Amino acid sequence: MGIWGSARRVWVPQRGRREVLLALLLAAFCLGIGAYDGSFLSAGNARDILVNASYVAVVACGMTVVIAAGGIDVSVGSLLAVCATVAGLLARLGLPMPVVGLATLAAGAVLGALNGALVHPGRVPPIIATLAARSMWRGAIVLWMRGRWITDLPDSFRAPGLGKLLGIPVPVIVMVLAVALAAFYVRSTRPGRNVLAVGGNEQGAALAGIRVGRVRFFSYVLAGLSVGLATLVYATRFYAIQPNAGAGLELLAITAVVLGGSPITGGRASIAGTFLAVLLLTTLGTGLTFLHASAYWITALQGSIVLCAVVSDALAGRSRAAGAEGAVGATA
Amino acid sequence: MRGTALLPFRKELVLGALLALLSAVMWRFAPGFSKPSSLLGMTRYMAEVGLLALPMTAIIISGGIDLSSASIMGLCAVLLGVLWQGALLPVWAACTVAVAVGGLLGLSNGLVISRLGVPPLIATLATMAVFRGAALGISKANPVHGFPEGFFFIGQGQAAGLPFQVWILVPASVFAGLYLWRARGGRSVYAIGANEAAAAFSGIPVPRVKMLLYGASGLAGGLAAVVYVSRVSTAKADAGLDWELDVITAVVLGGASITGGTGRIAGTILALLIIQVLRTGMNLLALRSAWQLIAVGAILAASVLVDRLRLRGAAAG
Repeated sequence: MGIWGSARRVWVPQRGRREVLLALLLAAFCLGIGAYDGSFLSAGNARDILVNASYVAVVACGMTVVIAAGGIDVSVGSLLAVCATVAGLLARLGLPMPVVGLATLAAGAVLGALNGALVHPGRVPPIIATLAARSMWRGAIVLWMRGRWITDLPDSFRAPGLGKLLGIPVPVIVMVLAVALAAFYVRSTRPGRNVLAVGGNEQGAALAGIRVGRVRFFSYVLAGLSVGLATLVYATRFYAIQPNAGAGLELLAITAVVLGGSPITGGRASIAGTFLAVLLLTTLGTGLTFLHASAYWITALQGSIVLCAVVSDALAGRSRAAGAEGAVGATA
Repeated sequence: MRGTALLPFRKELVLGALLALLSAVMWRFAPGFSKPSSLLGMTRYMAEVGLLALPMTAIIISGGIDLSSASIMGLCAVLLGVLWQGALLPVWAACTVAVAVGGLLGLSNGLVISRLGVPPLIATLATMAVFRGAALGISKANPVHGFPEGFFFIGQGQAAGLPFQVWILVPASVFAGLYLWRARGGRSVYAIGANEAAAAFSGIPVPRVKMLLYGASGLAGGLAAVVYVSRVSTAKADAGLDWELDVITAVVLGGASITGGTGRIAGTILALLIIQVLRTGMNLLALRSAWQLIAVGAILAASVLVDRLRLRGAAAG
């Protein structure tokens, strides 16, 4: 019921089907544009797309966990700006980069914990809690920096963003590790399974002895942590840090989760789907420029793909409901 | 919950007291706040967010949400500009078409939500991107200027000594308030928000009511676009950009429950006034818009937090 829709009408995609569909779509898209302009398939372009996708993918993994637990976090864009500012200021003080990195992760976790505290024990609905956090943190960061950019960053600051390991850019490695870790977390660890249990049926989970409030709280800490990690591969790619860093990131991450096939009602999480959705959304943007199409249509195209995905979900759910007849009628 | 029964307008009273307190503080400390020009000026800026917030209140009461109405506003603003400049329609005809298109876009949201059963949050998340993207694509981010003088009356003119926006927002609010309070359709909005299945079983045409609500939201987006374009003299694709969360903030601050079933237009209007007094006053005090973001966020979090803790206290006691 509510803005998440009534549970009975949300179609839960069959395991794996959405992921295969997204992968096929991604492949078809790449090959199609590659046929038009071969340089789209070059290693350099693939690297650019992956690097651009990296920070979104990391945040989207955290978002997948929050949504799987039955919540939502619309504050991640503002949190990224705070983390980036913390990282930039500490780096400018001359602290070694590992310390800066740890401090950024800690900042993300603390910010996430503040969101979590509003949700539990504060009992503020997640969308309201994070809506308030979104506006307060953005305001705080603009105020703190007086709207100015952080410049004069030491060269070591850009090591994570521009560095390479075995020829692979560090952001891509971080992204792959984060995705693998998140997938392992929701699939094979007890806390991860608890997240799904709480999102799927809160009362049932409580009766089964899961501390529901604590699980929900930690899902926001994880989301904050993912923002901290994303900051380390995003902010470190540029020569300056702007107070408006991360604006719009929240909707991009939520879009990726939805497109990836995790139900917005919680209870199920497809990290692979989220990852493929981020890649698809990022590739679309780059692809349009290769087609010499106007970049202004990117947003509309991304939105249309999500719309097609959710409408086809709904249609599939309806035809299945018609097949299952009586049972659905009884719960209606 | 006994307190709620004794004082039916408790939330509105609290909001009214907060508004009075804020106004008094601004009156005393913000230079020029008490001037009629700045008091009236506030209504100009309130009108567009206010128009979006009225149907949003009803939608949130029904247990839904509409993230796309601010994008509809952007698309309608662009259409208005393009139809006037490119298709050489007279500006009033272009306005009419823009508002009608807004209503149709809203109905299409309603169709996807009520007939296909897509959850409102993700349906309107998708159409938010589609509509904003279409606005950008059609306009290529080029603004349209040079509308005829007469058109600016809506956004910049005065009628009977009041900004023209007042004559749009007040009747619209009264209508929305009466509809939700008294009309059969309005009462069914509460029923749907409280328990959709029960509402459907008791014979309420749930899909039709939802179509109407999202259609109204789109229509409001179109109207807000006309008012906005007329006020800033420019039709551009970023009209209403990022407003969706501002609108939801106003509705929730006004006491509507995000889980549906409760809320009132009066609360939303008071919340809009509070936010606007805060913004105007802080502008006059030369406090950066950053402070305003913090203040609005803090009031939102505090209002819900206090409410929740009070409810828990009541439940425990």
